[in-house]
Amino acid sequence: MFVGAGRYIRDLSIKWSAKRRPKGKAIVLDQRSIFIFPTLAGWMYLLSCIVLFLVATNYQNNLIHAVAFLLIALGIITIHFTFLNLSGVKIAALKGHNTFVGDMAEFSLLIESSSQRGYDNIQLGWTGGIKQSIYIDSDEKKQIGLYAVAQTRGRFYPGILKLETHYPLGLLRAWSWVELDITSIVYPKPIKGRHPDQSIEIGDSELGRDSGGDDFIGLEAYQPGASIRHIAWKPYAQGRGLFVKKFGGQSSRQLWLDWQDWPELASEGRLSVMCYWAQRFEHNNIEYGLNLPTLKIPPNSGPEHLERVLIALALFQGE
Amino acid sequence: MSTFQLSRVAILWQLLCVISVLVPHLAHLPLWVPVLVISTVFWRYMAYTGRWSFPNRTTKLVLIVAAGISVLLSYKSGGGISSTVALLVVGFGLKVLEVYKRRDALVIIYVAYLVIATAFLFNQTALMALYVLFSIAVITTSLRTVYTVRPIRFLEPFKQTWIILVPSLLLMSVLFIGIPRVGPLWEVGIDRSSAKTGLSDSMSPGDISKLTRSAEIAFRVSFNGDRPPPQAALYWRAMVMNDFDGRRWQNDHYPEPHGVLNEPDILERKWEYQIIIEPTQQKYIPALEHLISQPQGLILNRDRTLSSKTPLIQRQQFNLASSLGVQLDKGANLFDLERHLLLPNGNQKARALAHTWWRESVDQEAYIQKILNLYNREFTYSLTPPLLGDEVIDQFLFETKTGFCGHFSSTTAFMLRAVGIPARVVTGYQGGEWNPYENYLLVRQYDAHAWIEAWLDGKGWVRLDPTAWVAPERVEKPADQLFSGQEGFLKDSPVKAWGIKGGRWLAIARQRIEAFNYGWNRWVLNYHLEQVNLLRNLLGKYTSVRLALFLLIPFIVVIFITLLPAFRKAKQKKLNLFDREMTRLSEGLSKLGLSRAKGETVNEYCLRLGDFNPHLLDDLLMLSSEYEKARYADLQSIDQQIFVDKVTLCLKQLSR
Repeated sequence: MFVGAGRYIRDLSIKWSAKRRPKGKAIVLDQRSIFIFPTLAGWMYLLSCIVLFLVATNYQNNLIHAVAFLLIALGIITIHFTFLNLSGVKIAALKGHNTFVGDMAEFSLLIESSSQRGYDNIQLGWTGGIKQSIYIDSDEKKQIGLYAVAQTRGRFYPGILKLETHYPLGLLRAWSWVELDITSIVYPKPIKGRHPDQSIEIGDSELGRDSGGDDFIGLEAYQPGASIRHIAWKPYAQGRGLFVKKFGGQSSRQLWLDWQDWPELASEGRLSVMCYWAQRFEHNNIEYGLNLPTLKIPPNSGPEHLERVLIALALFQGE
Repeated sequence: MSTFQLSRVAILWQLLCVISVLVPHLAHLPLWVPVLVISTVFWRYMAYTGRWSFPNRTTKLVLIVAAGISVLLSYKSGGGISSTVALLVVGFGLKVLEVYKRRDALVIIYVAYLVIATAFLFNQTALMALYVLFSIAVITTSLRTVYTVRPIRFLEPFKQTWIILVPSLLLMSVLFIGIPRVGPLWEVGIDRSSAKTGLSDSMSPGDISKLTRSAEIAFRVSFNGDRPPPQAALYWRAMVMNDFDGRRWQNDHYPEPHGVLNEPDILERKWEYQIIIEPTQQKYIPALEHLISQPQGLILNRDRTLSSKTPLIQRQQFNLASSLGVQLDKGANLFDLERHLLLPNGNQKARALAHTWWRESVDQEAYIQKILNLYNREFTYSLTPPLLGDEVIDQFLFETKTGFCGHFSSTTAFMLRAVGIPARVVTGYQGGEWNPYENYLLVRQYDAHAWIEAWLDGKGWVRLDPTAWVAPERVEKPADQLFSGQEGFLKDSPVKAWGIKGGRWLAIARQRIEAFNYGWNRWVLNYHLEQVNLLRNLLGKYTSVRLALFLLIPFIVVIFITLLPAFRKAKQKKLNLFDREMTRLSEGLSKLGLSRAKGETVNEYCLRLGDFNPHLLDDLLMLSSEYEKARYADLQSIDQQIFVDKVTLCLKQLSR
């Protein structure tokens, strides 16, 4: 019964704090969203004050009384300074960077002071994630990247952001939970699998050599930015200078990443393999299209195309 | 968090904090303790600069064991609080050598707070209080640097510390004034090794003159109504000597059998006063004659003097009341007459003279007058009288004829007892120096005096001061003016005596300083004695509700003032109009399951709505682009009215 009551109270408090938790793209922390409680060090400090008070009482020493009172007053004033070190912090969601399952997803946040004060030693982190300590000057906008492990494919919400501070004396901990309106997209984990064109059983090394289209057209003078894999090393070794191999027919080769190509794999496996090949084809300048049961993207190449394909894979909901 | 490393500034402040805490304890710690602590601080500093490495485990262990044994050896007799302080100081001196993590730093800082407070067990001057305040600022700074990540210059955190410390000081004064003090909760060991000072409980003729060498403060008195009684009435009775062994008068500490004071017959002017007595390691409490109040906790003796139950080891304060100008015991019976007549054998010449004069006198007054005349005619008052042999009275009366108050009172009491008049010697203080700045009377050891009391028919005990017969100015002028020409005066205290023998300006400066010290003693060091009265005056009535309000209101005011900077920019930006409109759109469509998903950008949302109703796609795309311009490019030019109308339109169309 007590357990039940305890759980009831806990649920209530969770509900209560969830209700108070500010939500949105940009949040300014204020007294409604800031909690404050002594730290372990704070309790030890209080214990020291009590010891001093007992010494003062027993020796009837008014000056030691004064020291004890001063330390108690210092603790009380610190409550407010700790609170002030969180109140008025403005935190805004900038961008969630897309990533693959198993990697760390970066979320860019903008932090600034909405009061005219500076802030020192605020720790930020997603609940359960790594914390990062920052300080903000009164007129400064600070962009920080917070990381969270991307565990599942799809739209990734990093969770509740916790801001915490012990400043200035470490006696109290002020904290705030914030539901920032920020997500990133997590692509499937790329897993190497069978080539979609069933006629070609192609190995990694072969693919490297065979990159680009089929037909070698000729050499062309190197220009900065050209892919290093296309450099013709032979003429370079002969001292003739840097040349790039030019391949023809790159557009002539079109591949489809088709949902039906991997009947032996479960759907997640198919997505992973498709993800792998999409990256490979992009890497090798091969145009590729995506054919999912719900969505069809015509063949193309380029970073935007890749991102489109990857997002489609990430958000694929099944047949 | 446990791997947190301290910044360099933080380490420097830690070392400073250790040094600053050590300084006030230098006077009572054995020399090796400061040497050890300074070496560890130096070692830590060299490690900080990278020139030396940290001590290894073995070195540290050896240091800890050696220091522990040394403390035990230094205080094998059990030095009480001093050894505890030594142990704390040594402990945190060694802790300095540990590699710094946050937790190590906190241990040092918290112990430093305790150690600096114990400095007040050894020294309670105002200067020490200032130093301790400075030191607390240093300790707090070093605590602050532990929690700072912003790169800072060395002195910056010290300045910022005062921002917290100043409002704390205000709150501290409120707590100091308002929080009720309770008595000691258990017995604590206090150093009892100090020597007794002041009067002793016996008197031989030369004793009092030793005290005139000392300018030590005996006690301070403030009178209700501010003005003191006239100088000649300031007889501070401390002890009464009833027994004479031929040389030495002895006090018997015999308590009043009924334990209560009789009301005096005639109440003349009543004087109420507070007396603050310096520690004497003795029990006597000086009071003006004639005492009419008996404070709680003090013993009333049969001879109408007061004594404390335990020796005065600390400065103490008592509220007393006396009524000047009445006889001590009018009408009361002298129940042990014989005792006050008792004289040992010897001093035959003096005895013979007494009998001769007694026969020639008509009454007791006439007899006393004869003694007075003798002194007046032939005797001199001196701080450095010649030494006397075995027959003290005879030698003084017939040979040396030079003496101090002890000689005159002792001899007079002898002469009275010799003819059957009960007499006793009283020691105490006479006069005092009035401090006009703080309105109190300062009585020093050199104001010590001895006189006699005689039991006269129909009058009871009457004070007689034979010294005044020889040197009336002793009673009329303060002692410093009277004695300043004499060579024995203040012989033992050349430093304390500055300004006493010196010129007028020095004297004023000295009085100012003493006035300050008096206020310090009364309002700070002995505040617990003043607290109830002060609070009663401040609050009108001393009730717990009023006390709580008295504590609460200043708290709220101080906290409000410290919070002011936070309210300075309390006006928060309202939710942007464009955000508000998007929310309106999303909420309006929630019935259709078309509300904006968490994390969905406005652009994505508008596209999704466009899929739902392709006719609206253009409008929606315009909404999205206007929104983005407004929110992220911060363009003020966007027409808000058009935006609002568009949202309304979309909402209508989609909901249909």
